[in-house]
Amino acid sequence: MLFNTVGFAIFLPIVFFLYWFVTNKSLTGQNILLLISSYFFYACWDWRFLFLLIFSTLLDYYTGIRISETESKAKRRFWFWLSVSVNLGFLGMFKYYNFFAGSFADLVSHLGLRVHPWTLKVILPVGISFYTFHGLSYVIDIFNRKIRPEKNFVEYSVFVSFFPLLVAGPIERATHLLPQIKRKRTLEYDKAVDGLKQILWGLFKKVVIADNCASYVNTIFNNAQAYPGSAHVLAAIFFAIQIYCDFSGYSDIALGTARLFGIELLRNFAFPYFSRDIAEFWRRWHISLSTWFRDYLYIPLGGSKVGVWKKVRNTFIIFLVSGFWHGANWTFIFWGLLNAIYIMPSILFKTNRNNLDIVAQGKLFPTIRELISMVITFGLTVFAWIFFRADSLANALAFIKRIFSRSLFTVPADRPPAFLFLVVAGFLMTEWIGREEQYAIARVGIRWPRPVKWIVWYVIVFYIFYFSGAQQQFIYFQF
Amino acid sequence: MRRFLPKVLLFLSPVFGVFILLEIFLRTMGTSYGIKNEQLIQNKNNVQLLILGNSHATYGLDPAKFSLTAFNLAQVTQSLYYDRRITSRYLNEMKSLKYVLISIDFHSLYFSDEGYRNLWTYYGYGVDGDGRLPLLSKCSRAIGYQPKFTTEFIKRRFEGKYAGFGALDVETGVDLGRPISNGFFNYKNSTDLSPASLQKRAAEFNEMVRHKEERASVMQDLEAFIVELQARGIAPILITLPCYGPYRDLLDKDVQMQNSRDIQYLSGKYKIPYWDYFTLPVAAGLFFNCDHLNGKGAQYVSALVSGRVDSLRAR
Repeated sequence: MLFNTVGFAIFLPIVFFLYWFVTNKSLTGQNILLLISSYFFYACWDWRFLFLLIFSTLLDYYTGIRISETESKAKRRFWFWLSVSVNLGFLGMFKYYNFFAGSFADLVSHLGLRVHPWTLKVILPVGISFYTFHGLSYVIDIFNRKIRPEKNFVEYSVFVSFFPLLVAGPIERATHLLPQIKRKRTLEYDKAVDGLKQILWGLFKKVVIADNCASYVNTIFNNAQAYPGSAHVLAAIFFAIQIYCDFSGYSDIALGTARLFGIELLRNFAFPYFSRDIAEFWRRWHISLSTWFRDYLYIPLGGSKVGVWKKVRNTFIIFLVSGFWHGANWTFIFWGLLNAIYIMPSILFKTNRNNLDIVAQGKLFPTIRELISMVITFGLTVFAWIFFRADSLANALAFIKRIFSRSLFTVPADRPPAFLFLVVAGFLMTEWIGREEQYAIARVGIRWPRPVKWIVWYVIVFYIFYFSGAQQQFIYFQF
Repeated sequence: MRRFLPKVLLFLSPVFGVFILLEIFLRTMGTSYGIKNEQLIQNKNNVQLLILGNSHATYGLDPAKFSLTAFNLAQVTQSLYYDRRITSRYLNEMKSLKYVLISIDFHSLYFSDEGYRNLWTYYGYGVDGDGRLPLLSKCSRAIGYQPKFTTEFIKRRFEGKYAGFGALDVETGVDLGRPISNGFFNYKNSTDLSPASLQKRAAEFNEMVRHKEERASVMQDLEAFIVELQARGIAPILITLPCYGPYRDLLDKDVQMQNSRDIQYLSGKYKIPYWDYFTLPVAAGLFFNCDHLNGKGAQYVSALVSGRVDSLRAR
């Protein structure tokens, strides 16, 4: 079930009604309802993979308890590594096996040998990268004695499977989400209205902007040779807008939906395209994943409290793994590598924490210096996105080669429709104005008279309805 | 909660109201599918020749040009998969049916899914494509029709250009001056063959035929359809309609050859005629665009095909 479908528009009010009117007297009842709804939500995609999700949940629940209950170091290690290896084993099998088999065959073919790799014909279970990381963080935290295991299976299962975050995050932490699942929730008017507003804004970003950008981007990327370099530049920029609106739109819907159930999820995006350097970009893009890698990979490797070369090594490791997490393709690995290279100067010159505040805070316009920094950062990001979007490294390089050809200076015959330029410009303005909030329209309409406010919401609803026909899957579902 | 729920319901009530009005409008508007369905039901006892296929046949073969009682059941983007299922729905009732013209074009063997038109086919003929369609969209047309089409239909309704035509779901460029007759309606007599449009369209179709996953199953389904027709004493005729020469040259040559081999194979195996007009030299002025005949072109090609049907009957 996708957030941008009629099915979800029916599913959500039903669960909401049952949650606040039928099971509201009992916390256990509410949690059981959330669990059943989450499993139903997941089963709508493919019920067979529900068993994998349940198995993964059971494994981490059980190993978490065993790690905590035993004092023997060896036994603790055994249960810990069992959980980690089975979780990563599933992820590896479903997501990476074919990649490794194919890459191995390619490698040996360069040595003059022919190998026919045995590949798996399986589909990637939706959300496996996300719920695996949920479970891993839980088990690692127990192993490191940061948290105690959750004994209530239903509550633990809701932590892993809560439907707003099940298939594409945010990647939650037990320390943040589990306490909310364990305590009684109340529906606060302001928070519920805020949740609805965030859902509306997320849908607008996904349906109106991302999906419309996608149709132009796909046309150019799928048949790149037929278009001039200028069209490639446009397609790359529009892909940057598409992926941001697609994924942050999803996150907005997830956060807004969770808020309707009295639960606050981790923020995943903080206006990343207004970053002044790459380090700031990575503090603002897919925050829940970046902080996951920081806490469970970068810091255990020594983080920044080591010598220069180890710091460089750790940075490369974290970006390469992050790239690989996104997909089993060399394009993602190269995308990660490129970002590691981008961030390296700030690591070496210790300027990576220069821009911790919000750009032009309290002002309407940025300074010229800030503007130039933002444009350069955006340009670097757009360039890296080409690798992320391309089907193969060869295609990405051909795409870039075309950009740096004479055809860059021709006016492309196929351009995105004028309305898309207008909508994107309006969207970026709204994001800029609302950049100090949790999401761009968080403060919009708070002091407006109700008729004006409602007209604005109806206009957004109309746009969502108008463009909602040709639904496209969320990009991050494939990860 | 006491404050939240009433306000949400108040906010949503106009949205629900508009939704209900849309549902009524979309259920009562005329569509080319609905009209074809009505006309076929009225003529089911008389139809002797049935024309199937996608937009090439929809706009390219005029039943009025045939000496037999013919009916055009082709539709834009209609796949061979749906050709078979729509025809099967009426087959028992068409007692006079003798010939079925099955149009197979460059891309016909590469797809079965008609995208959003799967639902339009369901709304028109009640054919649901082996349970492929989402339940909610089947139940509600306000959900099933894409909003961009819904708004287009509303716009057309108020423009009033379709008053004598009845159908609101036809493509831009269709001649609105004529009512649908025996399932046939045609493009205007204008021509647009700009090199850019040729290249764009050829790129689209070359991309489409790159995906060969469905080819085997489409062929298998087509064979089963031929067998089904022959078992009822109905003669299938395979046909490929003409395309504008310079456009044809841009289409994947290997696919063209493979198509030709496959259709010849079917023709030989089941001893059925294959009339290949793909390379027929047709004057540029008879095309509406690179792969569709205009009104005059349809008259011209329909007369040629009709002559061959008559020759076949005389044998």
